[in-house]
Amino acid sequence: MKKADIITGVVLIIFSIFGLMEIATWKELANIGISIKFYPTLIFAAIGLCGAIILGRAVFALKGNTRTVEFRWSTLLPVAFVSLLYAVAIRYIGFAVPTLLFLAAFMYLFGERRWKHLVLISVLGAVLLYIIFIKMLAIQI
Amino acid sequence: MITLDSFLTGFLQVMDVWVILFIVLGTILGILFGAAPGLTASTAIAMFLPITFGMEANAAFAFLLAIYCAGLYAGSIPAILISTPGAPGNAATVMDGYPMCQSGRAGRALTLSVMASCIGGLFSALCLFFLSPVISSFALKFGPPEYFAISLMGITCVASVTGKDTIKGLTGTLLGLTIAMIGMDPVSGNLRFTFGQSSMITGVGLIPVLVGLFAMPEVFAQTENIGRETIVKIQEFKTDRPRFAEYWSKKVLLVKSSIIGTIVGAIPGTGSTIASWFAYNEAKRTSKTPEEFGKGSAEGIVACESANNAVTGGALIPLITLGIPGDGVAAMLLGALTVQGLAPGPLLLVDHSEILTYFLWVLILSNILMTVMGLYGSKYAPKILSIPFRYLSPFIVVFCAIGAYSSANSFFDVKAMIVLGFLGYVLKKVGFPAPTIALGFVLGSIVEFNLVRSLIVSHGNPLIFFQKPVSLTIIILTVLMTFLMFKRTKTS
Repeated sequence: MKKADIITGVVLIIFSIFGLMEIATWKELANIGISIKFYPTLIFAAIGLCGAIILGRAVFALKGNTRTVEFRWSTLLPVAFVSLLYAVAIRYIGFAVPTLLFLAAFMYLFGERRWKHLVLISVLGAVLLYIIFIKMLAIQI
Repeated sequence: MITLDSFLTGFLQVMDVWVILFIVLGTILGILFGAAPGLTASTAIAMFLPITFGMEANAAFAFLLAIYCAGLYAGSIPAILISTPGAPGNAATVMDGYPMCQSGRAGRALTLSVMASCIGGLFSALCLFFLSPVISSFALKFGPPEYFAISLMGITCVASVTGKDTIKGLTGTLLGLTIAMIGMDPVSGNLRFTFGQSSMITGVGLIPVLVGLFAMPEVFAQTENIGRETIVKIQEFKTDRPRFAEYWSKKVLLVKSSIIGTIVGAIPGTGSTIASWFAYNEAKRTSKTPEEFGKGSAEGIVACESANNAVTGGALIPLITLGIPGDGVAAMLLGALTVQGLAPGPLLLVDHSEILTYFLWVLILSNILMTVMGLYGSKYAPKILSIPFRYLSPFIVVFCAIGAYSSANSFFDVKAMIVLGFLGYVLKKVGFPAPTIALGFVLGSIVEFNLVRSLIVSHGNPLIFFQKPVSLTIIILTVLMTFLMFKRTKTS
């Protein structure tokens, strides 16, 4: 967790600096009694402070936490990518075909290798979802 | 004001075929999601919330409340049978539920769990009914300083009791407040953090944020188990018949645990995890046989589960009366109320007094149905627990995508939902709980609007929050409660 906390602290501080720099570019369009920059500055400053505390704790090992954080990027990233691809595909292609392909691809990514299951569940699932959402609930997608 | 007429109107509204049908469906889905591995009541509500947009308000609320009640209970089924809680709120049930199962009394443990859940749920429903009008009439006198103080209480409670690290809890809440800033400033109309994108002018929608933070991280979390699935083996069991005498002998424990669950549920940002552990520790402390706790004590199961389900009514109290959700699920119910044209807050009970009696009857019916299905349906639990996640995961994503889209007919919301889901998973892994971000987002507009308005009225003088007696009282209570909750959480 120490390495994760160091990275998290640095990211939060950078995020805070970015936010404060963006806020500095705003122009006060009207006098409403309080600056439009007040509240956002407060929030980003607080985030920066929290980031500094998390970073400081990790660097000086003030809060003992030996738990390690591991990501299985090899399985996580393909799943995230396919999910995002699906979100783009339903916009430009429609609902039915992307959903059918997505169901099969997702089950495959999660370890299903029997092609009969892949085909059957994805076809039946896509048909069922189409009937429920597009026909019955009339969602305009 | 609650009158006999509104009381009867609420009852008659529940006695509608479609409402009862949706309560039954919601109870079934709640039990399935609560008991299934990798899914929770929060996931179910996040997935099915957008479906309710096209439904009538009564049916929509009945459906969601039924999922809520049943889902919170059903997490005890895997907790008892395979030592894996269905939701964090059922973790305390493992302490005595699993040992009781291992000693050949799984049926008894499951019966204790469902009966205690029912009693806790009914108790909190009655508290919701009787306390909400009182709180609501008091809240009608609130101005911007008081609303700011209340929302600040919600934020600090969320930050201090959710998760194991207060600073990370606070940071999560601040990140939620940051997401809420995207779009138009509620006071000046200034555009913030839109980076020239027209799709971001209205900000990120409530539904994509909640669906993204509650449902999608579960899917991403399951990628850790790809190729490492274990086969779950459960011994056969028979559900015990409940005996009135047994629950009557534990009446003091049931009432005490239900009170704990209701109060904890009513505090924004806490939820069933805190409630069940509080109740468990309290039951052990006051038990005549504390040495039996952890080895299959009936009292241990009863305390956890009654407190766990008592959160349902408790979390609705601040939602209905103040417009501040008591937990993550209540935050989603806030979305449901808003979409149906009902603005949660003190005026809700003034303009729609029958809604409270309607909620009461829905919760009563949901708890009864949940009990019947739990008693007679538990034998099918092994089948639910053996459903591979690889079949559930793509359907969860499709439901979430459609849900995020249908809230505003925007594909931007779908992409935002997936990105937030990914971020929510990564942040959860490094110690930032999703509920803190979600509640920060929900409270963001309330916090900012009332803070800025208060300062405008006082010409920039921050002492306004300490000059108003109600606001000052709330701030003092906030500091006290945060300290006590923080201390108790660390002790637990």
